[in-house]
Amino acid sequence: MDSLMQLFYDEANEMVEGMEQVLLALESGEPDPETVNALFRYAHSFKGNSAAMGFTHLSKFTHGLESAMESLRKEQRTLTPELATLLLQAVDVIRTLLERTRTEGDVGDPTCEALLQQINAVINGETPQPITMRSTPASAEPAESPATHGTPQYRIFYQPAPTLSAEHDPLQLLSELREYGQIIECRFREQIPPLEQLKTDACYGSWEILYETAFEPAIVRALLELVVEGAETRIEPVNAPSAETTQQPPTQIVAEAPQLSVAASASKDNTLATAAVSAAASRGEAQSIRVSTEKIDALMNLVSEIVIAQSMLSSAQNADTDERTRAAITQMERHVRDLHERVMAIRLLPVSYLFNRFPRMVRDTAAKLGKKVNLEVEGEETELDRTLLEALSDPLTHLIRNAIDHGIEPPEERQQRGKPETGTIRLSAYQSEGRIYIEVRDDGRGINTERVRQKAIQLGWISENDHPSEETLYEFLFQPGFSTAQQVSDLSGRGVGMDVVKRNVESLGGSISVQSKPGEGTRFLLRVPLTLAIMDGLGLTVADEHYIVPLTAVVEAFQYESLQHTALFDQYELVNVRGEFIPLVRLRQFVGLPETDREGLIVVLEQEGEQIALLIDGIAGQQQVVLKSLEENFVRVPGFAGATILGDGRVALILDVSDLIRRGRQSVERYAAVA
Amino acid sequence: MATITQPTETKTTAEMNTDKYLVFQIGNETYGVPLLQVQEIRTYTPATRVPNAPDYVLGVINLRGNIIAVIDARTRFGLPPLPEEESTVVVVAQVNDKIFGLRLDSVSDVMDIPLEQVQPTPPIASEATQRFLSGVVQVGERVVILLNLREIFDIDALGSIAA
Repeated sequence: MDSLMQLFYDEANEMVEGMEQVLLALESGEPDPETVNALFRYAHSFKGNSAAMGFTHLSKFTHGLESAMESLRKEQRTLTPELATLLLQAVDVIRTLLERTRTEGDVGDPTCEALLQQINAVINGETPQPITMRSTPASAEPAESPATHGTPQYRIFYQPAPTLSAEHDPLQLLSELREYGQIIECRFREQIPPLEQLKTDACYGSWEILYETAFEPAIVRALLELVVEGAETRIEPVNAPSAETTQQPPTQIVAEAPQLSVAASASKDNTLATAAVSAAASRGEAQSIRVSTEKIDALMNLVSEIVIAQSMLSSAQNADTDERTRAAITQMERHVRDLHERVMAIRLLPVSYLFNRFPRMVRDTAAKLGKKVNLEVEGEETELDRTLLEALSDPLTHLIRNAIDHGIEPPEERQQRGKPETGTIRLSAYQSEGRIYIEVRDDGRGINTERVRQKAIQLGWISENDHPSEETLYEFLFQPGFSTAQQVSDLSGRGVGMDVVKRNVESLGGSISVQSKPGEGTRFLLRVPLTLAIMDGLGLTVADEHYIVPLTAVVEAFQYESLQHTALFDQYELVNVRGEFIPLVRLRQFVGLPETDREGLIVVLEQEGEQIALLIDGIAGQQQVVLKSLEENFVRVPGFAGATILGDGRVALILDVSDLIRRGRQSVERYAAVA
Repeated sequence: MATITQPTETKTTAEMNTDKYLVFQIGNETYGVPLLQVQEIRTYTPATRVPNAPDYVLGVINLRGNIIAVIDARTRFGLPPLPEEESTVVVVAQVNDKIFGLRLDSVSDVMDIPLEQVQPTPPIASEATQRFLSGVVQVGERVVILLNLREIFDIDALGSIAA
């Protein structure tokens, strides 16, 4: 709700400035019919927006202004300087009202009515509109718009599904409606249960909209179908007395008088505090306070330092440490871990925060490309670190754009292929094994691997006779400079993007993969850590160096000697783990150290079903590590996901398991190519 | 050429614009870096080697919770590195929003460098090291070579650490 409110104010301020500029331009130049139109549009959008937010006074005032503009436009009158001055005053009034609504809620101003009457008097020619500025909101009747008499009016009742989700965007309905007609009045109602029964994620609000349109009722009904399932909508022609609405009188009109809602919800518990909390909760700010992200980040950093200090303390224990100190350290360890988890949880946000911006984008992009696309969203309640969410915005935007642009076929083509005309893009998120998976799946034409191969030949990456595996071909998609789009559009297809997407995701310690079936669609799967900040790690040693591998990736460890080892060609080695051959990567070689004859250990690592055997010198134990960026003050180092600070203050690099696996896979392919 | 345009609080010594420079010896030469770019000077603690990084990158260290790279000044200038001694220090500096450390055998002084007297670098050094220098200046008996830290910690060149 807060962000919506912020959006409203941002837009409102822009509009106020726009109106002012138009009016000021008028004084220095020729009056122009377009100016009146511009003013009309501003007033019109302003009215709609403020109505949607429940600011009735603002919306009424701007409605009055709009009507004035409408008659001005109809009368073909020029804007006189006198009128311009009055309109500038009106802009000032709007500005004042805006400021006041910020602090006082929905308030009116006695000057409104007088000013409107003055404006209408100047425009003259037509009788001034009866602009009602009633002080008692309860009796506020929708101001019938006389400017558009014969147009049919409807009363639309809209009750979003009890559980709000990403698809439920009341504003979307309102803006759709606005495109086809006029919203004359929009009332927001809410029925808030007593505090103890209040669900923080539930929607207790509903809208009643007085709507005017020349379009058929069927069209209005179609518009309402935009509202996702679960929502309750009703349309009634306005002249017919509406039985249903009278049967269920709204308990209160909170937008008109916030105190009302307080009184109602406090009926059981009369303390003011409870009432205030309940009122706040009703606005969706479930008993929360806003804290700047900097404060949380500072807290997080501090806790990270405590974790390091704690681990220093733990490693300082030795045989001489007395029992009491030992117990205290153990206890503190637990508390620190707990503290860390809780601070982490503060930073987690549901992915809906990110997903919410896509329906609009899909709609606009599809419209631009002349395609029909439906976006399905799943798992938007999955929680993710705030910084991760922000960092995922660009890659996801790109993937979805790509899916619309390259994946989903134009409607005719889809029909020919016997697919539904409307393509589907499914965006889903889920958590598994301590990682977050985000999937972008479309039912479009899929990736044409032959075209990818041709393109790779053209780029000189492979030769005519090469027939790399499907996976290798998909990998090409993520290489800089690769794009198979036959037509370069302004949305995508310039050959930049997929490599950036991959880089972005990898810089988050994540990975991306793609699967595709020709004619059936493409699926991109992004895997990112739950959080950037902390993880359980296993210390590995080679020579005197210390590396960390995420514990979630570790399957098991063996004595190297105990395993059957097969070397096929110089680069390619396999170990036999219980009958299964796993590619071997030597950590010494990986980090550029000379090989040793010493007996080593094998650690089997797994990610996304692929395994690798890593040969190391020894294991240094398990520890919780705080993930630090290498890039912040240095550069990304291939093969490493980041660094951490060990108990003694030294830095250890964290191995990137997906990179190790890729290393192993490459050698497998090299082998397959030769064999 | 002489690009020592650090916005500084300038003091007038003998009615001249001067900037404070941190001055140190590498080999037989005296070098200087703008003091404003220097965040702190700390004793050298062993860095963690970064695989596949250029030889002049000694590795990364922990600077109060941040990971920063340490560059060895001697190796960067193509000189053989000296073993670590008590006087070995790391000068922590900030270039383009990135913090890094420069390992030096020792630091000697902070000097006021008269900006008007800074001369373009004569082509004394090889072309490779030429770009690390931003000018020379004679201060009394000493010739101080001014360093361009941005070139020394060349993040773009480092961006291509090969796997």
